[in-house]
Amino acid sequence: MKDEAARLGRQAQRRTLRKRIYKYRILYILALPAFVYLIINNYMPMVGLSLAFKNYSFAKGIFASPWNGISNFTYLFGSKWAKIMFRNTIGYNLLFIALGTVFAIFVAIVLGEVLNPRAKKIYQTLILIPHLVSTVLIGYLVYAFLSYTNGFVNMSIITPMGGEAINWYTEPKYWPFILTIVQLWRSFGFQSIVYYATIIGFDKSYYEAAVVDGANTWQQITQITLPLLRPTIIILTIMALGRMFASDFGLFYQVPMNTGTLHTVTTTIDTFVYRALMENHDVGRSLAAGFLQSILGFIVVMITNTIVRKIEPESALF
Amino acid sequence: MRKKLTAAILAAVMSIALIACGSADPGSTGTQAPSESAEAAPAEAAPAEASAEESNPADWPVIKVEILSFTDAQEKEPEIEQALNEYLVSIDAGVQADLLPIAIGDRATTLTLMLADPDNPIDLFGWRFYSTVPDMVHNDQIISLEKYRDVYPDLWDLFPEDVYRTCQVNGEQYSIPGADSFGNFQVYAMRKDVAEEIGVADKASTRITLEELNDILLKAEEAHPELCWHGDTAVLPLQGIDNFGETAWLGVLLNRGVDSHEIINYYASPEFRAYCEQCKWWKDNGMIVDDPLNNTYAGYTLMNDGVGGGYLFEAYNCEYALSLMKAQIQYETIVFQLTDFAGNNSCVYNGWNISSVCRNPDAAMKLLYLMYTDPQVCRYFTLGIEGLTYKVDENGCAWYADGKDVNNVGWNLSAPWFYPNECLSLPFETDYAGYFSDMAALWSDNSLKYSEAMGFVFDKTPVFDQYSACAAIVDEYRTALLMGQVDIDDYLARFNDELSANGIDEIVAEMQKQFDEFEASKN
Repeated sequence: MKDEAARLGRQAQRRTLRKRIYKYRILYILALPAFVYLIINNYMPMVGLSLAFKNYSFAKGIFASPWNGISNFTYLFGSKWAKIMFRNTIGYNLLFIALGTVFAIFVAIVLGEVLNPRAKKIYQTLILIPHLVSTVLIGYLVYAFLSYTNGFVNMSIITPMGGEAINWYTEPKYWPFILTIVQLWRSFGFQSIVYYATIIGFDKSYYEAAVVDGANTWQQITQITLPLLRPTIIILTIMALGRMFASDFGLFYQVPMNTGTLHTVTTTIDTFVYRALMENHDVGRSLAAGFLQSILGFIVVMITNTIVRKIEPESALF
Repeated sequence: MRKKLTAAILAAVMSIALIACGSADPGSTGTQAPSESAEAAPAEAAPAEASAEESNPADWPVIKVEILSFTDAQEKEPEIEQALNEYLVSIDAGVQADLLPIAIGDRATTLTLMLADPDNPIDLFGWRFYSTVPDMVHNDQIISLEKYRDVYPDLWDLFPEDVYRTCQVNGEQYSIPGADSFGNFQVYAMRKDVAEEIGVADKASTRITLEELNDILLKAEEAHPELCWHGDTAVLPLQGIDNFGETAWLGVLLNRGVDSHEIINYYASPEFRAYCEQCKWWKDNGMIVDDPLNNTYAGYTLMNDGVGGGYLFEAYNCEYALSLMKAQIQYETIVFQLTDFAGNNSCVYNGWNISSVCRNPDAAMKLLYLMYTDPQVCRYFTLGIEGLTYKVDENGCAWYADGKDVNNVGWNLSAPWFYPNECLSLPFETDYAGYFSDMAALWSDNSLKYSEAMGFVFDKTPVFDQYSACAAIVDEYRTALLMGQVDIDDYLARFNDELSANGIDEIVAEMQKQFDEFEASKN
């Protein structure tokens, strides 16, 4: 009896699925190219991940190259750089996620309070510009500020005030702050636009009701805006956590101008791999690093999503 | 209904766009295949000898050859390719060429992709600025040329025997070295007006000591404190080391490898400390360029920009050095010779290879042989077509053709050193007629000194993990030391502690073991 019920249930499900597909066939057709693109661009290349465990031969190709176990991974762990690059990659990412989110939400809320539409457009454009500037250019902008002999900071601030010029590019201790400031400066515009787009979609009647009840601006933010933003914050944070073992190559390589003396605070997994392999064209070792980053990022996303689903199921990513 | 129609049209447009994005762009490789040649290659993949017997050149195999380009545009490529192929027909070469300009900016990516693509292969390419012979062999990117040793014996007689060893792995020839001086000495170039002002112009083109150079630089700095006198101090001949072509210098021979058999950890040696102290002295006396840790200007750029008054570089003779200066620097210069001539692996800058995806290696080797031995073939690559891209003066030197300059000539004439045998070309944009003949004369000069390690190629595979860790440590410390930016006692001690902790002793031991085997194989 139970089996019969289950069978009927499955049949009904299939009918429902077929009906749904037929009903929304145009939308499915519309989605088909994107789906095909996703398969081609994001899933088919996964075959290449096998190269992380192979001694890749350009002549033999992906499938015929011999397996070599985990030997492509060992160079990532066998030295002082293992600790440094994992610490930097994870540490900076956590810092950027935390500070970046807070800063972007703050700017989005402030932007939402601007009433003049013209001013609003000007502010949106201005805060978005750093996101569009090439990292190489940002590296030279930072250099213009921090050059030991000609930099703005030394020449126009420290020295005129009687201080001794700082050789910024030989002092690793300053760079966690410099890199964080640069990252926030160039990313907050884009992030805040995402949050701002969410905020303007909120039902205005909540705010009107709050005003009628005597809520001030701060109360409106804390009692209405932030709670409504929570699902967006959670989704964006989970997605950012998925990239926690990857780093922005330009930020850590171009901005400090690949200065050797700063490597202890600027070496991430990506920059280490680049420096270790740039002359070798060693596909296996490069992929081993990428594989590791992806798998670790995937694990973090799964764990985070599981936690979110337990606490607040409707905000979970899947 | 209208919405559905619009959706369907949009879906169709997206599909077409995606298909279009995925389709091959015939122009994407930046070449125009002659007579649909490259695409027809499978049918032509017969042995070169058999093809040569074909009476119709259209049936000859077509070999795709890399052309080094500093820009994306090489407008004269179709004409030069056609002229080259007509010449190949005239000598009954049995092979045709498909010239493929690759812009240097994305050359590494382009080459790597083409070397992994049997459907769109590159056949002949040079390894300079791309990789090393051992790495390419490790990756199976190139094939052994041993079987051609008997077919083209004179190709193995062009250069000193040890030079060929630099492109061998386990005794097998995988690449043919590109013609060069294979040796050099350190020179210091200085603006002539400055040298005359401080009264040292009479020492031009003579051998001076490091102490004499320091005296000259002190006077120059006193006269022109606004100029710097060093852009890059990481020069090898002045330090007197043979680094086997390894950029990290994790194991070296002293005395540039001449009569030297013991590989040492250079960074722990008194010689390295002494050189660091020399650099610190230059820095303390205001001779090093500002912000040297992130200033990557070439020395001649510093001079042209009015920032530098001189810099260190390498040359095989003083006339050649002056010729280079004349081409690169807007100021009149003089040079001082600082060290003796010696040859080592670092002086072999390039080599030419047949890719492992090449469909017709025999034909590729035939064309490569002609590129090394036939002056006419060589000049199509290095200079283009006489009258179209270049002209020749009464001294036998080449210049841009009338009305042409670097911006409108449509061919890259400034990189003869990239091609297999530049010595078959003509000196370009110089009055020094012996530019190449003097270089080629060195190959048969038995009085010249070469490193014991000439031809030694270090296979870092057994110590790759230690090597990558130590190379990263070198990146961290070395430039700061050689630019005099840090306290030597403290920094050098930390540098060596970290190298020791990360396995430099194992690297040096492995290097010594391989070097001993190499020396034994020579005897």
